Amino acid sequence: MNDVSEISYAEAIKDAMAIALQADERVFLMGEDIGVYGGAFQVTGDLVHRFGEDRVIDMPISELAGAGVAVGAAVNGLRPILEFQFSDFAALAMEQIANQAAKMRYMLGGEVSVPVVMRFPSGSGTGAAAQHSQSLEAWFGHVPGLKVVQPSTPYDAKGLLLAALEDPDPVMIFEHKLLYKVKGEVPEGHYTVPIGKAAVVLEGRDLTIVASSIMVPRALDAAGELARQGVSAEVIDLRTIRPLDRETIVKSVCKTHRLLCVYEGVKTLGIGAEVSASVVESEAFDFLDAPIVRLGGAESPIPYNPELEKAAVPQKENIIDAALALASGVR
Amino acid sequence: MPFEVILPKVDMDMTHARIAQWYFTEGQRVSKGDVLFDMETDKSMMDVEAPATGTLAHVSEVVDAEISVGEVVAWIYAEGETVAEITANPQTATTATTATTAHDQPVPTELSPPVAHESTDTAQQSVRASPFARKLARDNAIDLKNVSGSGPMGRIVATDIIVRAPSQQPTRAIEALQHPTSDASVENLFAEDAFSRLPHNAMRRAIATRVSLACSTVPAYHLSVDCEIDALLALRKDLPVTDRKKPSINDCIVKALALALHDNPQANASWTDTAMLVHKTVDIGVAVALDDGLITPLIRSAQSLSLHDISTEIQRLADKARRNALTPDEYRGGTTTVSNLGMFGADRFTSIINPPHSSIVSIGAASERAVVREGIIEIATVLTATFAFDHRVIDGALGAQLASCFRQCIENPQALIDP
Repeated sequence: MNDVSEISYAEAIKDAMAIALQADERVFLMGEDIGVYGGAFQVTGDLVHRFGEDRVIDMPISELAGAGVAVGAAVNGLRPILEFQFSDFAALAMEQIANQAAKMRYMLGGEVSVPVVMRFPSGSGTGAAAQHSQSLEAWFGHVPGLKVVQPSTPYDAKGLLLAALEDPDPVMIFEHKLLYKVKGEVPEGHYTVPIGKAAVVLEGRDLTIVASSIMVPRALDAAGELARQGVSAEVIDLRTIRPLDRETIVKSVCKTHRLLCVYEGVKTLGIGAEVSASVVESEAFDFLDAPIVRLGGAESPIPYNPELEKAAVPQKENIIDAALALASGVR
Repeated sequence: MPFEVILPKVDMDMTHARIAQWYFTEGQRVSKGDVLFDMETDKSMMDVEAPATGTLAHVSEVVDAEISVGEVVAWIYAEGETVAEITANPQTATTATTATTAHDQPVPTELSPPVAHESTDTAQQSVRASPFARKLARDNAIDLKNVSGSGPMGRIVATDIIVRAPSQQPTRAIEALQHPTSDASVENLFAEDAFSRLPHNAMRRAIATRVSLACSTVPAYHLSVDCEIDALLALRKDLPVTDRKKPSINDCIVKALALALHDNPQANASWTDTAMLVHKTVDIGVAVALDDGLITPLIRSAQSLSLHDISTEIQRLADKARRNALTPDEYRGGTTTVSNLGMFGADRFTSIINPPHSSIVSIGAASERAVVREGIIEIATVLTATFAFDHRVIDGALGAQLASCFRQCIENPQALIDP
């Protein structure tokens, strides 16, 4: 058994990258200001000093060029990890991600694979306004050929990144900016968290809350309050949104008969829509005792004003209110 | 579309209510916002407003009987609408097909389709039920048309499905799943005609849920103090006669508890998993027995009220409680409770703490008892106050200190009337 230490989400990601850089010479990092500066959110930190500028590469300010280099390197046998400063800037690199990385294995009859890993600091709550605060994971989840993960804990952040490096397909990792400083128990050394597997992080009886990323700790906080009010919530951490672990969700809804989907991305056509549709298409349909409720981001860009910013994405209180209404039969 | 008027849900645990009085009758014109009827819940009486403007039709004739939350009690038709457009609650809709609209503008009969047959079918198909309720009904060969829904807008939900267990005792299907034999296992212990079955009302269910929760989650302990009240009785007797009612012994007890909690603020607190909520005011619940249950309205900020104010407030709230007219603000929250069964002759008893309260005081009957003072037996009027404390909030020493402080206030009652 490995020793376990209490480290932050950002440190866990750095630890995973250091392990990979140490163990596999094909692995290298690319990104803007990830070298001496240590990365926009200080995730790469001192790695450039430990592994050198050939393996921790500061790239020019062109997301499209960086993504192209990373995809090309992956096709040619390397294991690049590309960091974006903000997930919003992925818009600039979408051609390489959606049209090249995601398609190549299919279009070349399986002759090549594209084992690239891209890391996207995402989400709101830092006062960074509309162009630096989005939760765009659903865009990527819509593209066959990509895998999309959203770790909610330091443990998962490290385990999913190491699993992504072993995966033959492009893996998009959406890291929540507000989680970077959150600490949790992380084993030392190498381990993986399977891509495509959700986790039941709290067992409950009265309703299922399906959440991902920062909404998982919020849902768990809410569940504590709900328990005091006599409502027993089951909380599922999706961890991966493509491929979606429908089996875990369906099994839970068959037990609790009620479903609340909580996600930070814009509500319409978001993750909750997919989770919700998966449930009504499944055998869980016959076990629903109330309409499914989605709690997602507002239908607007993330506002700059801090109070409006908070109001634009689900908070603990919103989850409590929605769950109480659902569990008590008001809905 | 005609507008449904439903019996609204105004409180989390409300399942039924009664309509005490309608202010409009069949065929009258109503405007959105008009008070349509008075609704009486187990806690209060309130006005229900018209959700739309139009002509009132199919008014439920049920007055003074229990109606499920979400049940349709009337319809509001807009200009020119006819009965055929109704699709919803099966019972109401079926009634609706045989009723006629009381519209002041005549419906052009030639243009109306022969609605009766068709709309009955539609009504039956459009039973509003959750998928899980449908599955339970299917699995147990139950016709949903015979089930009334307690969900929003009359939706049938799983808890509405009554199934016959093998024992032939009716059981709610969902309970049968969770507790395979709950009702039946008790009923089977008695001969079939040896009891009458009184279904629970909302208040009974609320009490059952609250006390079960308290008993299973609050680690309580008890301690008693005997309080001599001769000085208190004398003081009360000597209070000057004014136009206000003289405060009762119970009023004095509430005041004494307020002072004791004010002096021991750590005991005026509520437990949460992450923190102790230390309250800034002493809000004392006073248990009021009702014909079919009880409710505990709150004397807010009792620590800063005079004895007379407390007396007046208790009187006002008790009257309101007996009229079912309390508003949620008058019974939600609170930090402790006084339960007095002295008038029923109980010498001493214990009560169940009502979370988020961390204590409750049970007041027994005052009686003349022998007390020993410096080797001499004397007669004194004594009542026993038994405190129940939530041990998570109040440890033994603090509890004993509070009880002792309370006794001193009762036995040295001048403090109760000093400003």
